Amino acid sequence: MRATWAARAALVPVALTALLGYLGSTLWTAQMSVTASRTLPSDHFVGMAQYVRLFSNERWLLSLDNLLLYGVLFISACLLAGSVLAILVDREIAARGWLRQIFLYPYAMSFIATGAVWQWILNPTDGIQAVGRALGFSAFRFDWIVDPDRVLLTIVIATAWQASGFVMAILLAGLSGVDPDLWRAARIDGIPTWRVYTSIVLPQLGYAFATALVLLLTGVVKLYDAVVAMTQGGPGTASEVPTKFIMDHLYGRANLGLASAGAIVLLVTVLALLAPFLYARTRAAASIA
Amino acid sequence: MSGIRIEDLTVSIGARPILQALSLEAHEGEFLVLLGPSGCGKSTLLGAVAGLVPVTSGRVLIGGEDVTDKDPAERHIGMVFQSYALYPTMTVERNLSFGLRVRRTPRAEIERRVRAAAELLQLTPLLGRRPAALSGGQRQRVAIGRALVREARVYLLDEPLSNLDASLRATLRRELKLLHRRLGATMIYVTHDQVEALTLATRIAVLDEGVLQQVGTPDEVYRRPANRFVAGFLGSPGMNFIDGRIARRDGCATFTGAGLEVPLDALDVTTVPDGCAVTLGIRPEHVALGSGPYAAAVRLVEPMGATRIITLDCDGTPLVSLEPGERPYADGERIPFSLDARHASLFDVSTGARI
Amino acid sequence: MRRASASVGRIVLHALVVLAALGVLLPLYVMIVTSLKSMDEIRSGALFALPQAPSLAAWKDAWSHACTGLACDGLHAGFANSLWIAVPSTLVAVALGALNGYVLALWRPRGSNLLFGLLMIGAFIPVQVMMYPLVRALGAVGLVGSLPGIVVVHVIFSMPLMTLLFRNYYAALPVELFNAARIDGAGFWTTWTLVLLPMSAPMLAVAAIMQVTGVWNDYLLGLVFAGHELAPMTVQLNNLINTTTGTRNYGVDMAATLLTSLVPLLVYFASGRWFVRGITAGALRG
Repeated sequence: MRATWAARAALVPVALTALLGYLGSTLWTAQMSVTASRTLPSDHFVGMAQYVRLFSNERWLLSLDNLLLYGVLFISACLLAGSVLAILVDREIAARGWLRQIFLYPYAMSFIATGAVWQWILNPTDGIQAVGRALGFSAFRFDWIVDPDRVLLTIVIATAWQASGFVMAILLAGLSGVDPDLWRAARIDGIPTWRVYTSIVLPQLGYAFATALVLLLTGVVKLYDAVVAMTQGGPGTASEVPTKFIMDHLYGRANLGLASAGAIVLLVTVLALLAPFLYARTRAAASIA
Repeated sequence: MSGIRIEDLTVSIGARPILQALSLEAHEGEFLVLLGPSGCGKSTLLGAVAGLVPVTSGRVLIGGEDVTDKDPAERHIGMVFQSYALYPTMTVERNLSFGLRVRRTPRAEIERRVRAAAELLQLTPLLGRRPAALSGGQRQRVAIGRALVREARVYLLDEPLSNLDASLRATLRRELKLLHRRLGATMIYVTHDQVEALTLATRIAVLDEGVLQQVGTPDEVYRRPANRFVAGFLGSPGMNFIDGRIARRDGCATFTGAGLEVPLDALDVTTVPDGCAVTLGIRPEHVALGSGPYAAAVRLVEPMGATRIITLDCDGTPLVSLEPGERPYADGERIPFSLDARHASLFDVSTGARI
Repeated sequence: MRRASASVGRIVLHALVVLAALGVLLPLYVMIVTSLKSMDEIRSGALFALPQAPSLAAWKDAWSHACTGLACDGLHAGFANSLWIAVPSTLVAVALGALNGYVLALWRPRGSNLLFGLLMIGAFIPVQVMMYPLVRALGAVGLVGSLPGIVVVHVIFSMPLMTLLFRNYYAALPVELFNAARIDGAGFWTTWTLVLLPMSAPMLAVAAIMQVTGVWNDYLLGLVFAGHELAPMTVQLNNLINTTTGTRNYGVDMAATLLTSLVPLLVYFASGRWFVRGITAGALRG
């Protein structure tokens, strides 16, 4: 009786989105991943053959390695820089509103623009390396973007530059929820500021950190634009990532089956990363109820 | 005919019953107060009458008409909410007229009713303001006005005074009582405040844990509580409870407990067997200090201005007295006192029911 | 003594903050000065130097002459495309998000929690997982490479965030307000349009800001669903900076990058507090 027909009708677009757009197309991709589809979907069932091929594909395995390394470095960098920025802005300093706005502006830019500017700054001919050499350090080397062993680091630098402010904003929101009386109590007890942060404030930011972590993790898995703009997977295949592998096989190489298998592996990865957080949330919700 | 009847009403949220097979009637023109601690189900009950809370089983009748399956809008009720729930983007005038505009009431009629309600509640100078520019008391009046312009059959009020400070609350309480007398409409009023209940109600329904404990006039509920819960919930300071036994000598029943022997000739205890364990309940105003057959040590004196709350120690059982005297008491001083057993209540130890 | 050490601490703190701010601002500075330099000056290796003879030539090139794929008429077409895509995508997505949030927070028909959960999980799925089937589905109704097509895709992928923003906003309102409207006789649509939407102005602004910047900054969906004619600015920018033919002109690249970032950066700096509110409201309670 409570929900009228109008309420149900109003949910039709979002229901279509979730059921057809998300669930339906995911299932279709899953179905294609067990077929021999090339340019067009085919019904020729091949079982797990695409997955077997996928995991014997050098480029795919390399892109998974890259993703893991990138993920660890990127998330560590963002959490560290984000925490430092948040604590700096949280102190009572002049113009904190302006500072917060400065630290967050890269997040308002597109990955393509971020990639473009960092590609320019890091390019060995005219970028930072040239600056160093022009200053007289003729042996100065900073050519990571063309160094297959270091190219991932440049993507970490660019994307962490963009996302650290985001982590800061989330942590600041968490910090604003900390009871200011705790600070007064700590001052009366004579506890040094850094100690208040490490022992009292940061432990209360668990939820904010978890949120930042989830969003950074999904950002890692979705990494695509920045790589395309900065390195296009190069030099060689040194900065290949799974999303790019899937896109290349969908379009350039016209191998729907293999691309779908890669997409499903990516999906399973996301769900596996998400599962502990979802579990913790349902547990928390259950314990409240 | 615009009373409210609640028949066998059960409301469950999930598997958890909030109200169980509750029946209650508010007669036409009555000011019925639903009183109980928070979480007792009183607001749920009001919500079920309003149609805002889905009913699991049972019926709700307004003016003799079964409205159990009707939309809130079709029940012809006016409602006042605890948080006032004024529409923040609308002026006072628009707040008052919104329900009428939605129902496409003729313009002249809307104007007449809004003006009448504003006049009655002294809101006329505020009609152009938004809720954010009003004081708490003014907001409360607008909320009442919004219910009044509906010219409804019944009015439901959900803790309407609980967000106001103490002095304003007392003022608005009086205004509400006068308003009810003037309108003569049926009102159901939810509160956890016993003072509001006692001062406003024509009848009080006391609820606890989703079950109706007692329905009666304020006098009945206060003087003859149906059980220990009702006895303890009403009155401030609360009723004294003394555990003890019934003893009979020469056909006269006596209560013994906490070192006291209280003759019970004023109470009807013929059904209670000899030696039966009971709880004696006696209100602080019926414990008179200064003279009497008993004596106990003073433990605590709490001056309240016009009166004092004095806590005595009767063999380890605290006994509270409310008295207007000015005589100073020393801590631990033994003083004589008497109990007015005519106003005492006896409760069954195990069930808590009145004997 | 204590006072002295405290002020030293504050000096260090301020120095750190200024340093961090300069570091974060550096790429923006480099973009601006590079875009004003001639190619000769750029090659001299003075990345951080101010331009000797500031010129807007690179900006003009980027806007109307630079090669973005096959055509060489600059980014201006992409700017118009991005605008055409962003406006309807924002209007439709915000309106639907507000409606969804209203139903999910206040009416909660049976199954709505499940639907909301599905929607939220959908927000985490990489687009590549759903892309090919969506291309096929839109292709079947002839919408790939058309404005309605790309708008529909943007609306689909922004639905979780838009819905979440409004669901949380409406859920935080006192439910008594909603009940009062029902007692007053307002129905499903009247309650939304006359009572709740007028109160939603802050969240409408937040959602619109999030959606405009999100759509403007999108690359992948524009690349796949918009087609050549409607290619948004980000796609053109990527083509421009990664063309392998001819010599690269970093001045033009940076001018193009700035042009592409202009709208989101303006929106961001004009609405900073609300942008922050958008990302934290979307994140913390999701």
